[in-house]
Amino acid sequence: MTENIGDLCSDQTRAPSNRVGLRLVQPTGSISEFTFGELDALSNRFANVLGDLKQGPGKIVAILLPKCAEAFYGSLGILKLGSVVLPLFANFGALGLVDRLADARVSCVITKRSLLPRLQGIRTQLPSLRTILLIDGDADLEPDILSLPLRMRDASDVFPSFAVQADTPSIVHYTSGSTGKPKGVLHVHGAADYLRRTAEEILQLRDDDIYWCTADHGWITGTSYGIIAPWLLGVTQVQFVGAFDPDAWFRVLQDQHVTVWYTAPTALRMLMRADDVDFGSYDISHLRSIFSVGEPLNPEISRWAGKVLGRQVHDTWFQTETGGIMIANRPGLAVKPGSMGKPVSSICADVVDAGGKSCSPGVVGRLCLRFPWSSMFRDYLNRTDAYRGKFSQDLYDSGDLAYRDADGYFWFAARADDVINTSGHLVSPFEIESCLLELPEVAESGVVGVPDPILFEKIVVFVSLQQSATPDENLALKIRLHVAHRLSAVATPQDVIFVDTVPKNKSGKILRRVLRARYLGQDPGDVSTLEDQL
Amino acid sequence: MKCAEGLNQIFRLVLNNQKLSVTREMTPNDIEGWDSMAHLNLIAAVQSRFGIKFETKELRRIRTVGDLAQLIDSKTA
Repeated sequence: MTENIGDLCSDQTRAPSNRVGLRLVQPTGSISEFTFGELDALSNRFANVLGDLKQGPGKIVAILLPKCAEAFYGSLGILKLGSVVLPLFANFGALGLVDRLADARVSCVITKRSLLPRLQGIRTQLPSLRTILLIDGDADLEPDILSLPLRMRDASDVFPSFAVQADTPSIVHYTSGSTGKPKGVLHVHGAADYLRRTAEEILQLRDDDIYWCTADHGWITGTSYGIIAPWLLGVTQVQFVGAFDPDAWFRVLQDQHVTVWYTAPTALRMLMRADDVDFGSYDISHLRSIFSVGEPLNPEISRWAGKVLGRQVHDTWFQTETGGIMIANRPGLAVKPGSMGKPVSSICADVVDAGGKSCSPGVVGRLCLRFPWSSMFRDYLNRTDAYRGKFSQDLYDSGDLAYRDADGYFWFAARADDVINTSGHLVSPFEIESCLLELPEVAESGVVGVPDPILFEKIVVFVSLQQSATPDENLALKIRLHVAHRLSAVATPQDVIFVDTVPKNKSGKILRRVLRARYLGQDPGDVSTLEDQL
Repeated sequence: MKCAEGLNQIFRLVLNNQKLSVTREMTPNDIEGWDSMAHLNLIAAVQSRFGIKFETKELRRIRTVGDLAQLIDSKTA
């Protein structure tokens, strides 16, 4: 019998109802707290509000909000109702939103007034969208733009949750591939069991912990381990709702007595370079473990953390598709700096060659996982063909290249495709190239990721212009901002290179390795297939 | 370009918000969308519009709109 994740996260038998489940820390230092009892009641009210608006099982409800209480208890409310949650990064631009909201046929969006203009600008492209619920303001704005606070006041705090099966859809996150639009990765209620086990085995959460996951709920880590996993164990979680600031972050670690901290290599690299901060002046003695996820953790960070924070950073690896942590370093396992660690105890990971045979230690191949596990995704929305393409026999192909050493540790080598991993977010070069074609000055473009000391990879665009356009700094800025506004700030090109032509092969495919080599001043290798040589 | 007026225009352009009005005391916590990625865009826009270049160390000292304005002033004086 599978229980609804919404219920499991506010289960009064797991955590006393008066225990704080969520503590929101403002940049000013002021704090709002919600006990598990309050989270249960608020999520019930939320479910009742949505039910009255004819949302329910099978419908997809989006949350377009920065970190705030409504994003947390709202997610539980949507799950209790039997609807599917689509958590969205609040910085998505209009194009990024249309791609996701239209593909998922979202019927209701929870958002705030300041983000409303972005939604209104694309409303005509979202025929399934019936209702927009605003978390701020006590009055409805239009017949279909409604006030959430107004309705929450009158809603009952009792709600009989929708009965689910293990494969009942729960959450959808979008992820980028090297071609095509982003794909909706569908997860299920049955994932709870795996998330709980990995929170115990890898994060080693205990019910007296104070846990802080810095990921935004718009990404898989932010929901799997930023909303669900800690609450499945009745653990208090802290969320900082301000912008990144090294001192502010360390005040949170110190003042909130954080014991387990789950963050990202990019954030750690930014902290590492904050040489004007006296980290030693903060008392972080309560901090038991640090984990990271999103990109490979450079050995340099491990050394810095050991020296400055007095602790190791345990890198973990998983993907939007896997739902939960698959391979990880963890307390109790000797850390090999730079390694991904070893698989979770119930996971069988393998490195295979082109023929599907296991590679010998030290040989790079495709990183695959033997399925099933309960948090694995069940489909790409509207793209079942692509979903099936991720599996071969009993192996899920992660799309990452890696090798395993003689001790069983896994080491990331590269992506097998052209997807760019920038600050822990996967970005599709194809999406950026399509977005750039909206600009009248752009004739064609080629987008690549190149190594970056802060972002892991930075996005570089090579742009060939129409004859009438002038390549200058203003146009480079326009290109940069166009991508940031239309797609997302994380997709912003950090470098714009104007070129006469974008190198392609004879079938018209952009030769990204040639662009990457050109940028890095390296030998591009075999260029015999270049279109120009025809 | 006058610094205060020019900076306000740049914030509006970069954060795609024509109603935005910034003051010197404001921090990223006061201005919606001013996150670490938008910050890189702000810096690129400032450098382009004012014809100046920043050192990495200088960038790390920017905590408020006023800090950025002061840095621009020091480069354009």
